[in-house]
Amino acid sequence: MIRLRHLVTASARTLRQALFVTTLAGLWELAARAGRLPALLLPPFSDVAVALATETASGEILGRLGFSLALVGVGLGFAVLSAVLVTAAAMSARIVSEWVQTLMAILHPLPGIAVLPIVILWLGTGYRSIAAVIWFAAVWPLVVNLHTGLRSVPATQIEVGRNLGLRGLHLVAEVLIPGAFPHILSGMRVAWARAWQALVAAEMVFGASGGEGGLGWFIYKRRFFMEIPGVFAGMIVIVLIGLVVERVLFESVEARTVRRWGMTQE
Amino acid sequence: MSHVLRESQVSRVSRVPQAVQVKEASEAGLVVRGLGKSFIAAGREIVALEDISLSVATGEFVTIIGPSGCGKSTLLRCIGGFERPTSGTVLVDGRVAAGPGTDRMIVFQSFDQLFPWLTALENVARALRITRTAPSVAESRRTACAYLELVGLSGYEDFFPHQLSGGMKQRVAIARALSVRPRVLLMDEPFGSLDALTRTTLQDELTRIWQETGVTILFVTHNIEEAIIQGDQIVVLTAQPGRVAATLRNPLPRPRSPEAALFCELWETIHNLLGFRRGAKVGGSLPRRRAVFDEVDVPQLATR
Repeated sequence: MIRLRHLVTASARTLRQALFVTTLAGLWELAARAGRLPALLLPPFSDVAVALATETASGEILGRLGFSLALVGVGLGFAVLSAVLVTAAAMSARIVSEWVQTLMAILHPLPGIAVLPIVILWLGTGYRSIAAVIWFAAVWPLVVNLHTGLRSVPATQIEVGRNLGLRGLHLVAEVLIPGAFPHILSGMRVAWARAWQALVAAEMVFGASGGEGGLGWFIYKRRFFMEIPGVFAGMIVIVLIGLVVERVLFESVEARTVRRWGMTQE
Repeated sequence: MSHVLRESQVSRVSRVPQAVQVKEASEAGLVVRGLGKSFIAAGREIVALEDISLSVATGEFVTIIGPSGCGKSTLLRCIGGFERPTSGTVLVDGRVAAGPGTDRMIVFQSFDQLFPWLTALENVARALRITRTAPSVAESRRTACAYLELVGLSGYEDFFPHQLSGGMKQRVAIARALSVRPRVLLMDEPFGSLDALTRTTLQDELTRIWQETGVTILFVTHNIEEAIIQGDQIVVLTAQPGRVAATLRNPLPRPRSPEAALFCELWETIHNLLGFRRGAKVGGSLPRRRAVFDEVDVPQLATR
């Protein structure tokens, strides 16, 4: 009964949101059709929708999307790996923990895209540079959250684990990782958002070598050929992916884990 | 249920190597000899515990009572192996116990001792798997079910800790600690954060569980009433440094009620031993009252 009511209010909210977005699209259409603005600067929404449909049908958008997602996957994967290693080192020695915290204080405020010039110098203009920028954008929030997460596990739970005979990696796997999971999840969320933004930004600068590229490169190309509806279509896809990952992936993981366990900090 | 648990207890005792079994009966169970613990704080040595000796025979229920800050938690943590005593030894069945082990399971006071990502059942079952007490996952779940039933939590198997009340959480913690079949259950004020009613209920429940399983219990509290209701022996600690003021044998038959005349006298005696003198004028002089109760001379017993 309660679940049903919850479902009804939730779907009512979704309905209101959908209505709002549709209204915005309608206003956009009207503003473009009014003829005051050149279609090159603001194409009508219907043109954008058509571009989106044709680009999707031709497989162009899916190909670019796949390329972008693969790049983010590689960058994020390396970021997770190095965050784990850095945190493990920081947990094992106090001095390393201090170094990591200092390094974090210095490098955390630096946006990923700001290191691109140097990365191009080191790695050239290829997908490796973009992966490196994604790595840099994502690794610091991961380290911060992993570090705080592990420290936030109650001492009593660690002692229960030790009482049961757990030591070293067993203790980490059985008690510390699940105990730190709320922080790990929010670290992943921030890392994903920053990685996705860094990806699009980096692709806009030079795409990728050999005419291959992701969504950022797709937008760049469409603007180059003055196919403005295509530019907007690319932007819509970027927004949609961001929404799907946040709302579908992270929300459902959160509902199944942290919220089910009553471990939310709010 | 109780029969099964009792049987497992018996079989475990018989698995103890013979060399240990031949030793004196006084060494079966938990023995603490001359335990001392000091810290360095603000540049000087603080003696928290001094020359603590006590013994808990197998199947016995012993309570430790002391004012807050007398180091009774530190004592329990030393016995549990979470802190290294400065001097003295802890023996379980005649063998020196150093470092944490499943032969001495601690039940803590804080409600966050359960793993929040596991259900009540999984908290117990996981402990059984980690310690390899249960040979398979299915077996661990069956055993966990039985232990949750023992602590009166049938029907709450699939609840997560955040869905349980404070008293229920402590029941799960007791079930988990018992399930790995420790030689002695160490309880560090497990009901200290509960309301008075729940506390009374859980005291009765713990007595019942103790009677059904025959487990050895060392129970720390700062509540005189709790110490009397639960303990066969009551170890009274004084503060700064923590020393054993007396070890009293509890003459009251179970179930114990605070209304009994003897209960009040015992209460008074402990109250006086702890350094309070409230009842002394009304109730007469201290030596006469202390004579009512047998003191267990533990240091002698241990060094024999």
